[in-house]
Amino acid sequence: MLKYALKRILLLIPTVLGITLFIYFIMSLVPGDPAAMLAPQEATAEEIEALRVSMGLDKPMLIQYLRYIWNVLQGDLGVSWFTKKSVAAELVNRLPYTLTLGVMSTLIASIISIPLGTLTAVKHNTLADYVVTFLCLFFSAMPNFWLAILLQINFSLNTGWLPAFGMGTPAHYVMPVIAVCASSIASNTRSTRTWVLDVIRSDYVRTARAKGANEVTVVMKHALRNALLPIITGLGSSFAGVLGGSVVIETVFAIPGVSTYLTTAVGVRDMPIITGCIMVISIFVGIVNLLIDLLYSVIDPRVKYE
Amino acid sequence: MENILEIKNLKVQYNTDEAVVYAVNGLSLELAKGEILGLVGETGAGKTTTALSIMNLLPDAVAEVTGGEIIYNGKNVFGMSKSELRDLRGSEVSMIFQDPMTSLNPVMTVNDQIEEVLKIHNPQMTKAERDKRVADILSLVGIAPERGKSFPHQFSGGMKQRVVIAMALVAEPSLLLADEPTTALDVTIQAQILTLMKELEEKLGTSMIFITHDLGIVAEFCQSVAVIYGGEIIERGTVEQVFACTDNHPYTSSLFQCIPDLETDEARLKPIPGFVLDPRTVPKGCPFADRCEHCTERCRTEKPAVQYVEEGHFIKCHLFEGRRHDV
Amino acid sequence: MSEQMKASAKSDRVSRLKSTSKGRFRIFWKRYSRNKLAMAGLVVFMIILIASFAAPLIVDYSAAIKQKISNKFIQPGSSADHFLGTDQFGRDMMARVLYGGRISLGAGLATVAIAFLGGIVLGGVSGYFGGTVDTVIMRVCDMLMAIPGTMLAMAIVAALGAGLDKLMISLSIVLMPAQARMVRAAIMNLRNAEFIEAARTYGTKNARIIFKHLLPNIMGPLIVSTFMSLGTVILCIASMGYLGIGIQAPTPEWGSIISENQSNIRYYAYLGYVPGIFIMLSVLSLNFIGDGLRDALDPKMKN
Repeated sequence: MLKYALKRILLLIPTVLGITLFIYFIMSLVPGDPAAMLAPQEATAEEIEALRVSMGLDKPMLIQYLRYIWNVLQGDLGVSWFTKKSVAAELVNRLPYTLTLGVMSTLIASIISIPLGTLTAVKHNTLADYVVTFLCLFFSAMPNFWLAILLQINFSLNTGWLPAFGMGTPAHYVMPVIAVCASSIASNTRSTRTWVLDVIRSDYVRTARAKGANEVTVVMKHALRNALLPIITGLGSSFAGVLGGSVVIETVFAIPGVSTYLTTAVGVRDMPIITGCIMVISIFVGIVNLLIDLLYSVIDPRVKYE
Repeated sequence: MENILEIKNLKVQYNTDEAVVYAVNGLSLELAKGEILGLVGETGAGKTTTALSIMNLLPDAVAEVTGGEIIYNGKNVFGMSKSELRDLRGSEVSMIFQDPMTSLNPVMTVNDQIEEVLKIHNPQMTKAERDKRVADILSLVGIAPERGKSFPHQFSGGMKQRVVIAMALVAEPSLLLADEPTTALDVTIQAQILTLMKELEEKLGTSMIFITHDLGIVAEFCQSVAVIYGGEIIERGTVEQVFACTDNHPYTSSLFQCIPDLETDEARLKPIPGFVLDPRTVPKGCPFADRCEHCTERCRTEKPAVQYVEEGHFIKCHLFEGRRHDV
Repeated sequence: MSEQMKASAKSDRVSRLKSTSKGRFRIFWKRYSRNKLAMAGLVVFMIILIASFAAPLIVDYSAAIKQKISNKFIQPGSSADHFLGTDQFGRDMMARVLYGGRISLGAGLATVAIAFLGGIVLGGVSGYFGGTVDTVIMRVCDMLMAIPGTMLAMAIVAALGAGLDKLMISLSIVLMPAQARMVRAAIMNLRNAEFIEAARTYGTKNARIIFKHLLPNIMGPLIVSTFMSLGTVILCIASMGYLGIGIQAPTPEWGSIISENQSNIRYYAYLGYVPGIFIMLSVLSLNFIGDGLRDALDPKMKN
């Protein structure tokens, strides 16, 4: 198992290399000279050229890329084109906010959606099922930033119950987590319902009923444990989805996380920041997926990692 | 002899989006204590539906019992409370399902799955007693007890079927419903499983309904036979009565004609003409009328009644009205 | 068996076979139209779509762009000229939302169409040829799927530069891997399926196998997933619009309408509700359509 985990961590390296190369490649397709854009208005051609050389932009794309990777290996993610500040240092400051938001949202979404989805599956085609399903459809269709704005107006600006912006106390997390969670809860509840329904109709659940097991045992011990397998697989994409959702939410609540960093950088095409953010996020998504795979092997006896 | 089971005029239908499927249409059947009955019929004749009805295990989302009752030991299973049903299932009546591949829970060990039956029905048993009992039943069905720690995916199809049988027998039920327990298996393993079940039945004295479409197995294994067509029993008697007599229900006769006979020199088997009854309609008359070569106008309009041709042997067919084999 | 019976049995079978190929759409439509929510979704979505694309017939584009401060913050319903009210610059909300819909829905549809075709090509190549091509394509897909879609799209937009076309390209790059994987998995599955094998044994040509047997069997799930992803894409475009990525002001887009009015929503709630409800209604109706399609195309998946 340990060997498998190590192998998976090593497999993250080509993913990260690939994704950064991909961004460099796309960037090289686009005409336009970042050095000219960054140089002061009155700069001469020589000054722009000097700037280009100092940014390493005079070299071919592949050389730029290799140089970047060489620096990354030494823990240097480069500096922002505009502020000239270290990207790595900034990310270290910002990551805790985004990761806390992401992990908390994923956990809370699972804690709510798995029981709710199971319940709707067990009670399927009853009023409770219809109500929950309708709410799920409603919240999965709601843009998360719109929900965030509504929450912000009603629970903070108008009432002063919760802090509207920034980070600091646990209370700061309440609205962002709700806004990020809502659509996750909605879609996870629906998929849990589908999986549990699927399992409830399987032959082995009928076998359990034929043994005389009571309904609670049938659902909890036989159905849910089997349905958990696909549900847990879904957690990985759920975490990625939550991080994706946090992009807008961090902006709405002015959270100083990775997402706001990325958003600001995208606006001005500050590529070192963008590459750095994507790289760090893909590493964390990879780690979460690895943890989920390991959890899977604990639950499903058919999966053995050697 | 006392009856352990009486099915009276059972009617079951499946309500799907596309159509209503009439699976069982007025089926009546009695089973004496200790009897081994072969329930024979084509795919879709209503065999499995009947068996599931006995345990009140029909999928409640689609299946609907529209009439009749099933009396087990004097009590109607459709009138039982949830806890009465739980007591019935697994300890009084148990079922061997058709497909061993999907009937076992993939995330539980074989031991746990067999032990669960005991946990439910024999709560007074200690863990050690249960373990002993599980080990015993595993060796009885020919599985080394130490393999019980394995998961179903580590077993072959035949082994899984043995596990399913062990699970069905561990609480020593009074009635065993075996739904084509050997269909999914190789012929050699089939024979082993049948021998095993026969031994077990002799040892435990269980009554059994053995569902199959294989007449050979019935002749070898069962004491009596009931032929099901279009969701009703059209002939019922002891194996000797049904197999020995040459004057059966036309459907039973055609079933026999579908068995190759090595001694005669016939070039071809005689297939039954036409298609299996369309289950979306309930025929007004005899369900077999459309495929029967003796069919008359009366067969299409009037349901044939039960005609006893000899003691314990009835045929549901207008042809046999007032006829008796034993006089 | 009498000759007559044989003949009738045969024609019965033939007619059954025919009905599967000829009346496929009719059967599909019969199943689909039975689903009330899916029908409602279809109607609502068509109304929003047609209203958006026929917007020039309803209101002039200048009403959505031209600022007239004297008309600011007219409440919806209080003026015949401004049915859905006006914003802080006196621009007509109805005009902004309808013209915004052209961008949100139009870009969404285009994105999904590009991803649909790209997915078929990539997945098809990958599944059909296998080997190294397959490995490379699938590795790239894995890689792209390892990053949250919104973030990847943002990074690609940043690299490509601003503009609606760039936004559409980046979003379809985000969608394509999942589509390609699905097509590949379906082809891999079907390649060895017994009915394909059967078709081969009686000498069916490769092209016929692909077009008559493979494609129809993949199409169902693919169309369903495409419709399901359209809702997500519309939400994603709205998020981008909200963040001001891809679409330049003053061009209206549903997400950007919300962000430009954000500071006023607290006092003039309709400024948030009008665009918000348009987004929700389109996504909701698309989800209903997707559900209905899934049930109609693949009854096995129904629950």
